[in-house]
Amino acid sequence: MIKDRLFSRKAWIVCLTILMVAAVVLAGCKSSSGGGGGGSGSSGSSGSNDYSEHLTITVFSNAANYQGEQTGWYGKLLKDKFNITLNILAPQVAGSQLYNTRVAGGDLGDILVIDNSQLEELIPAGMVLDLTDMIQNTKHLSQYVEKHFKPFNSSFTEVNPEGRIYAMPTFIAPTSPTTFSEELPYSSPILPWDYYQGIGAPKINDLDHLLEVLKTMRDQYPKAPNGLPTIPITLWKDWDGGSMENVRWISNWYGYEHPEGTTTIQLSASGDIMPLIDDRSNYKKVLQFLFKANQMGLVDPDSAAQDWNKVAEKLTNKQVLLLWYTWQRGFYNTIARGMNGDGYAAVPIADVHILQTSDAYYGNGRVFAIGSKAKNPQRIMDFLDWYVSPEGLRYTINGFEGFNYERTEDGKFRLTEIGQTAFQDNTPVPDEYGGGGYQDGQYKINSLIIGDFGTDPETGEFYNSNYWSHTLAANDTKLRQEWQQMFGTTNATEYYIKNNMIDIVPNINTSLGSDSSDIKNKRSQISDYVKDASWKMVFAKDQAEFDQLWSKMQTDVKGLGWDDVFAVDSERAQKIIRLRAEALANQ
Amino acid sequence: MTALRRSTDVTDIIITILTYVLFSAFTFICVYPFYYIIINTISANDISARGEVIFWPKQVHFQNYIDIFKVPGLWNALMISISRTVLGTTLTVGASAFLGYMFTKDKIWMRKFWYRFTIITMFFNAGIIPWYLTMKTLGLTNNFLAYILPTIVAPFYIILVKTFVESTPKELQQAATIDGAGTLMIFWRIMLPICKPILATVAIFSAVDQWNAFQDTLLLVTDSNLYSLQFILYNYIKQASSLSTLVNLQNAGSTAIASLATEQTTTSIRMTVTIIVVAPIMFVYPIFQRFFVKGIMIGAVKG
Amino acid sequence: MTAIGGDRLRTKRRSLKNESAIHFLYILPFLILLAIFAYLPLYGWIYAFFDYKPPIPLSKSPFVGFKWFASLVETQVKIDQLIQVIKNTFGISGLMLMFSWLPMIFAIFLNEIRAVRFRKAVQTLTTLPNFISWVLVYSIAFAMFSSEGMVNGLLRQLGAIDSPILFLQDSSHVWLTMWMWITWKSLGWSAIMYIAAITSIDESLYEAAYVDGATRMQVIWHVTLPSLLPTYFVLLVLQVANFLNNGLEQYFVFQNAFNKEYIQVLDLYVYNLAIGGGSYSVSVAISMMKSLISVALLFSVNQLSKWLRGEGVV
Repeated sequence: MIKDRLFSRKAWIVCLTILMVAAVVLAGCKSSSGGGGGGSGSSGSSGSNDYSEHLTITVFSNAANYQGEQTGWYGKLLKDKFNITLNILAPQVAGSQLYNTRVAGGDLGDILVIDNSQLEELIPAGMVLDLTDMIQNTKHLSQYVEKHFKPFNSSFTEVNPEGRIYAMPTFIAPTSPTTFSEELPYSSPILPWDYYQGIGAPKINDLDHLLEVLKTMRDQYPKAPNGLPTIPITLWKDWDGGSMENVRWISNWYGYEHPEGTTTIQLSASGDIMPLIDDRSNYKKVLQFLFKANQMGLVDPDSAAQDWNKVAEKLTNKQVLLLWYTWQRGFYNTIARGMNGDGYAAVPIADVHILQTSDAYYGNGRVFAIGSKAKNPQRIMDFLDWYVSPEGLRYTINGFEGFNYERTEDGKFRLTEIGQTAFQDNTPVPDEYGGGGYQDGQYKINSLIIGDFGTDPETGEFYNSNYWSHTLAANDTKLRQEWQQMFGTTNATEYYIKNNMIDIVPNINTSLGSDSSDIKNKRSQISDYVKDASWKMVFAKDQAEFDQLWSKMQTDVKGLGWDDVFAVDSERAQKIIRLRAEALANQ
Repeated sequence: MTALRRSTDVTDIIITILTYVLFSAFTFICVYPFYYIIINTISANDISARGEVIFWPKQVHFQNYIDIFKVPGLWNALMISISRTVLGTTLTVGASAFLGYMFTKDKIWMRKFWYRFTIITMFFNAGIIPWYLTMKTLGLTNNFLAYILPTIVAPFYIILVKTFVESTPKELQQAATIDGAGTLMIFWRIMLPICKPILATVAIFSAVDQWNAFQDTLLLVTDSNLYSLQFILYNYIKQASSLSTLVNLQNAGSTAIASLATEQTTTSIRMTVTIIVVAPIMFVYPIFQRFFVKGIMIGAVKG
Repeated sequence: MTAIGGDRLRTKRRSLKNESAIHFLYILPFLILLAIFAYLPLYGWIYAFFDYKPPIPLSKSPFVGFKWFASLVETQVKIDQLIQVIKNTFGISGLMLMFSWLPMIFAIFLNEIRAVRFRKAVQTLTTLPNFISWVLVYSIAFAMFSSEGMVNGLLRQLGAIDSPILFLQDSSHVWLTMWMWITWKSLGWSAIMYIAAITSIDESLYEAAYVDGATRMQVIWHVTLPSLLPTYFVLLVLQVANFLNNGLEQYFVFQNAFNKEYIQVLDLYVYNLAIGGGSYSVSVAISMMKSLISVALLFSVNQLSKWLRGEGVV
């Protein structure tokens, strides 16, 4: 009896399995026809406008945080225009080994959005196409060759001695190498405006004074609007690279940056190279500042254990007092709140001298390239050409005219009602454009060649809608007005420039070379050590422990190969200094 | 069950009480975090983020789940995951049962050597690049079989089955041999039914492995039609956490305050995903539990 | 007569050989699968002896011999670091070995529960933690043990403490804490194997014990436990062989600057090296060493088992 029942169960399972296998086979058939069928288009030279055959383009993008096909309204747009579907591969999702394995397998992708250092490796391996000839024939890309692409590609002197064009840098801001267009420096002191007013808006002289101000603020406003306690300073470890990232960016306030590609030095605008472990370094100064803050009970005790998501929540709830990244304001600030004078705003400290890199005239650390195994380079080129055209930029950055923004009488653009919240609310897009949510359908490559600080030839304004004159007018809140009244300029960047409290250095974009395996290993061990020691110093029991940890670090990192890594980093810094001087000279 | 009862004494009663107390306590600390996750996924997200949802859900809503079901490609991925779980588990259980039994047979040529050959692979890790290149050469990139073939021979499960078989009375097999049954016949008619408990164990372990697997997808599969459920959801979590930063970037110049109650945080998404992924397992698990039942042996030996 | 007897003997020998060959053929396809997926990729161990940096192919990469292995111990600081890492690995793996009998005892006493519904519920519910990913476990741990978390809140309400205890940054008792988390997460799940084994115990053994008037503990000691020991020893040997493999995820999510010294097990150390920009070859070198050590451990413990118990596991 039992046996009979078991038998029928077995049969049932077998049937189910057969059904499943059948379903999979059918699905498999679909996938092979979808994936493989598109590749056999005509080769590059002939019929550049023949889009009759559907093409799936594999995009390997370091910037993407989504892996899969580009669907939604942007996907439809590309399908209608070029008959292509983008299949995005994202190392941020699949892991950094995705690069290693695909490169070892010989085919990274059709469109590559990769780091400068990776480009430097791929050129000699023959894995990227030489674009010099194709780019001459484009309508829009060719405009940027002389001033942007050529200098960039030529700077890779070792692997590209002839200066051929292999790649196009990302987020190019075609303003100038000495302009800085944003309203706030990337890192500067930021406080809640209403709290600042509430304690009497004192003029802050230096870091010690800042600590007192924070203490007063916290004592006066012990709880955030939602009832949770106020935290003057909060830190997090998620983005620590060569050192404590939070410390790195506060160091910028006093004129020293950690150039990308180095981990052991700080560099000033005048070209002073300072080792991190030097007793006079800004790194130590900021660590000391945070240590003092912690001694005064102003630092979040959960800093070491929490992750960025937790910090984001605290920012959204207005629990944190001191911010430094300009974009952190966005977690709390809204227009409605601004109307009440409530929100985060820049509060300059008298003795700062901020180091700020200019607009990314030469691009921003990554590149767009075309893989050497790409099947239809011409069509890809056509797509990339559109990508930098005004039409392409408008679609990619701002969506649809008539839906997200509209034309005004004075020939400029203005965000529509829908447009103001389309992204946050994931507003449904009309079917004729492709349907689906606006946010869902956005472009997933997540990187641009010409960035949003390009100028739209029709309106004369930036593509970035936050800087449109109409948006600025709408944003003219009480908060902004009070701020302008107190500090006498339109925005914080202007204030710092006017009062000589900022140095804008040219944003140099080039590969500084990749480490030999030796240096790589040493660098990673040193970084680990420095990070751990830094955290311990911030939370040290007393000054004695702080000093002891610092000196021990100075000795120990020598044992990990500090001198070798420092030599490499100094050489890189010299290259940066030289390129900056050249950029200024060529102005 | 037997009609005879064992003798009880004071120790017995103490042990009984202790057992109930300890198991209840341990079960509670196992269940509570799960309960915590569930009530947080159906409570208003901003209250949840503040850590105020501890015992009861507050401001119940199901938007978190609805949002996930809208993720593109979810249903296809679900089909893929179910297929690979069913097919993969069936094959793994079959192979483990067969090999576990065969390795108990002394008469196989160089049995010990081949057994060791199989077992030590548990400790091998060749590195991700050679593994990827091997799979690529075999044509297993963007291929459904990549989910199945490498998992069929699983040394750990083979060991489990072998140990189990060795603990069964030898008379069963001997009786069948005398009756003229061959090795395969004995395997099919006698060992399989007897091994039901351990095969159910292997099935549940293997099914959970297949259901939760997505490391294999990460590098081998780029065709979105073959993405498994776990991968789609992982993708979703990753995207959402960076989107929430982007949203706030945009916020700096917008008029709206998005409804924080239903606006997602990364943690709320992670929790919702966990429930969605675990729920099917919890439904299927009791089916396997039925195999943990005594009594199959009695009739076999006596009869 | 002899001729016929000899014939029969020869036939019997031949049929035995045939049988062993045929049986081998039955398992051959599986061995081939194994050879392809597990042994073939091992050619990749060769990368450990080169300075391999994709996309430069192996043929053009410089040969460096044992350089990576030596680099792990080339300066005193590195040696100190490595020693601490090994201590951590030993500490945690050691604790786990010490308590490896827990799932077995769990299964045995679970089996003692008479109330069927309660027992089944406990069995199912205690497997739940296994399904919560370590990332989420940490979120929950943070919600409970951070300075604003539930535990500190409760302690403060009770007046037991003034300022919060920073549980998650505590550098003392790290191994114990990690062991408790692992146990919580895996106890119910690992017990499944033993529960399955218990169901295969012959009823007649129990009957004999009752007839002899045995108490509950005596039954467990003389009947249940001995039947589970084979499974236990197999799993124990495997656990010893896996001594160096603690896994990555758990330690990665719990690590921070304050507990790092004691939480960094070998797997996490390798990961931190690689992610910080260490080369691919180094990670291959280390994982190769771990594989070889694991196999060596496996056969050593197996030999030990043979000497002590009279039979090996492998």
